[in-house]
Amino acid sequence: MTDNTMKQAPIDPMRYAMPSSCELKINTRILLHPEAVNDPGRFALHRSVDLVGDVAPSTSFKRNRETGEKDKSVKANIHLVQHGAIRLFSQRDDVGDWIRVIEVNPGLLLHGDRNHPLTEPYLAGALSMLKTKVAPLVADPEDVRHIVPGLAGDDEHVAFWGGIQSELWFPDVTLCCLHGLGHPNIGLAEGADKKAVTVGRFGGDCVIRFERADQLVDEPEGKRKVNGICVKLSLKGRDLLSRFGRPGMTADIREKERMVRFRASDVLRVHQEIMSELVGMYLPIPPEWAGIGNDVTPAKVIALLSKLTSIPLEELRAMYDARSNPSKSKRKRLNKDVRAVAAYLKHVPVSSLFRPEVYAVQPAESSRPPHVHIDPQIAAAYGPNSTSR
Amino acid sequence: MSPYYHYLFVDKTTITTSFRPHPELRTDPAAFARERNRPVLFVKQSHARSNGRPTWILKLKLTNYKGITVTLKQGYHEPLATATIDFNPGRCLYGHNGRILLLTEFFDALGLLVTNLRPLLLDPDDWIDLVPGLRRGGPAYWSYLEILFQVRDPGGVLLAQQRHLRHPSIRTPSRHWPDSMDVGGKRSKLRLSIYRKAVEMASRSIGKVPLLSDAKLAEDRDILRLEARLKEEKLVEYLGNGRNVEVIDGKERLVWFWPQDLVGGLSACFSKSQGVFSTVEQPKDEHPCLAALGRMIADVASDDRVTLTCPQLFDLIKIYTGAESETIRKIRKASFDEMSRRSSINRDDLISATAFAAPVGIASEVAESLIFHEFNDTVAPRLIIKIYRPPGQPFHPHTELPMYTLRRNPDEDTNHENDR
Repeated sequence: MTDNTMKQAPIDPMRYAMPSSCELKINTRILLHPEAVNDPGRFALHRSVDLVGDVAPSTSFKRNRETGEKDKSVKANIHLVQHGAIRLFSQRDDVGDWIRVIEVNPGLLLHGDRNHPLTEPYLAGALSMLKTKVAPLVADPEDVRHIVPGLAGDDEHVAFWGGIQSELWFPDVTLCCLHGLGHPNIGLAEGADKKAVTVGRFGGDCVIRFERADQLVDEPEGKRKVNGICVKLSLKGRDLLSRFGRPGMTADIREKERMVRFRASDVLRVHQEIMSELVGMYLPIPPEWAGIGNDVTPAKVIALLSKLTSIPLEELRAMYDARSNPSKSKRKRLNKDVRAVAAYLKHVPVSSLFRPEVYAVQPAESSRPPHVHIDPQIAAAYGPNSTSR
Repeated sequence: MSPYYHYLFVDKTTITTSFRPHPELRTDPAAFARERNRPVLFVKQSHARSNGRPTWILKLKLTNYKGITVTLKQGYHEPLATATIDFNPGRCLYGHNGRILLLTEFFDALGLLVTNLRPLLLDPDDWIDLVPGLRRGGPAYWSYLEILFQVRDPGGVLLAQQRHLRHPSIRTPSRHWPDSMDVGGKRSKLRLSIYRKAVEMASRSIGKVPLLSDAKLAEDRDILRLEARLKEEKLVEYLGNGRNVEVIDGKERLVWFWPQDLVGGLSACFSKSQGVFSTVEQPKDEHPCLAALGRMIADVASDDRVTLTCPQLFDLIKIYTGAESETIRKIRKASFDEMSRRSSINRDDLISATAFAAPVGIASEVAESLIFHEFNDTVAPRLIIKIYRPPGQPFHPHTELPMYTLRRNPDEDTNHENDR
């Protein structure tokens, strides 16, 4: 390849995206079986509940401003199948202990491995398994329809989708080459470190997190370690509704519009849509620099600072001249060197990296769900031929 | 600097110790703690394996939000439980940590600590092992301290200059937010945290009421907090003076401190910062070409159009050029020397005896109106005062009862746990 063709080659580090993980959060209100609360271990043994570890309730006390009495609040986390696969968060009141939040990771639940793309059959399989695993813990069998959102009748919805977190891995992209990251609706990235950059505040409705992530990739010669980034998108509240909500997929629950169904294919679509709105630039490390002069030269520093700060090259050169007071010939040579090294520094807008084609190319073998009995109600709501289409 | 200070510049602290817990605490900790009429906010009991042995774990939150948190771990057949006590004297007394405590107030907070934890002990006389330094050869030591200093920074000059800070003992790159910055990672034994305290307080609320009103925020917005967060051996390095260090569990540990130790430690931490404080002398250029480049980078970092800090620019130069550390070190030295030459901040003016004698604190009417402690609960045992009060410390008269012993809104709740 000649120098000329190298200069004209487009920057295209993203070849494909690999869905790494997806975590789904359901808000609901289901009464737990009292025996499951009194002795979880024994209950799990007798009812074949796939309980993981201890259930350790926490008790907190808060004064009730109306009665003046100290109200006792008991909360607990119940883990099923394996840590991270299904987590139930329960809260006690006068009636009993209620499941208020269910968190599920479909990959961990079905395969024991987080990295799986979320296709329609896969989602239907994971939700069917979720329903099967949680059902024995429910006090009233009627409430089983409130485990997975969208299964109850039109006016009977209790459960809704409270949050969706999708994570994709992009090989050959370097985290430290992303500069000035931000999103028009959220703001600029703050608090970046060497390992991660976050756009959006912790607990916000839309948070995008870029993390440095190396993975082992299958190649003809065997497994190879590939550098890359993991881009995690967490959506909840209004942002979740505006990005995922479609007609027929929302319902009024306690006087608020909530999402009761979503399409698995929308997870990738929304990820791509939001990433394509990012601001900032991607400035790859030019490999050609390694062959030019010393590792660090004034010309390279000037060219780099100009890209990073948007201060024109001429101005930076003048700043360096003022500090070094070079001879005429040295100045001439520096001008030439700066032009030469600057030509190799090429940036692209970050938004242009996240093209639909990148999301379209995915390893196919991992998208097949394992053999799981699909609940007919779930198949109707979430499967490939769901009625919500 | 004066050898005596009436203020004790600490925020969050951690005490590591061990003691024999009351056996009833294991059967029903929530009921036991409530029975003893202590202001318990949170109880969580769990079981796990630690070093291959089954272990009982109990977490208790007492007094008020982030005031005292105790985590006990005890092997099933072991008599002693190891205890990690997160103790924030300011939050204990006032419900927030914006104030700078007087030494006498610190004693009150330690009094509260003993009053609240003594009922958890099998033998109440074991309270002596709750506070480090009271018993030679005892198990208690300070394992974490946040030492703070607050100063007015009206034009934002100090915060802007601190953003270029580089500390020779900290390798983790700094993290920046609009009103704050952190130097050092979460696991670092030494971390520096610099932030606008009033802005941070105003972002927190009790119920839906912010800790600071808009008027109070406008008045105190310019208060900048400089905090050194020290763990384990860094505490010994910066605060140890030969007398206050003991070997516990095979390691040197800090067992007590006086206000002047904290002032000295904080000064030493921040004095080592490069690129922040003004210097008079112009260092010699050992490498003229690299030095010129270094000074040019300092010019760029100081440019109003540039948002990247001097250390960030160096990190990027290193990544993009693949330069050897030694070359970068030479350029960086010239750069930080130039930043110091440009700085208008005099270290001796900023970290001065006068500043420590009259520090600026921030009060929160909202948080403080909810606090009430029985006077007797705040009375620290004499031994604590004997150890923690420097000998010959001038008398600092208390002309009125502390606010936290005056009942103002008796119906209000002191548990802000669920409000945040």
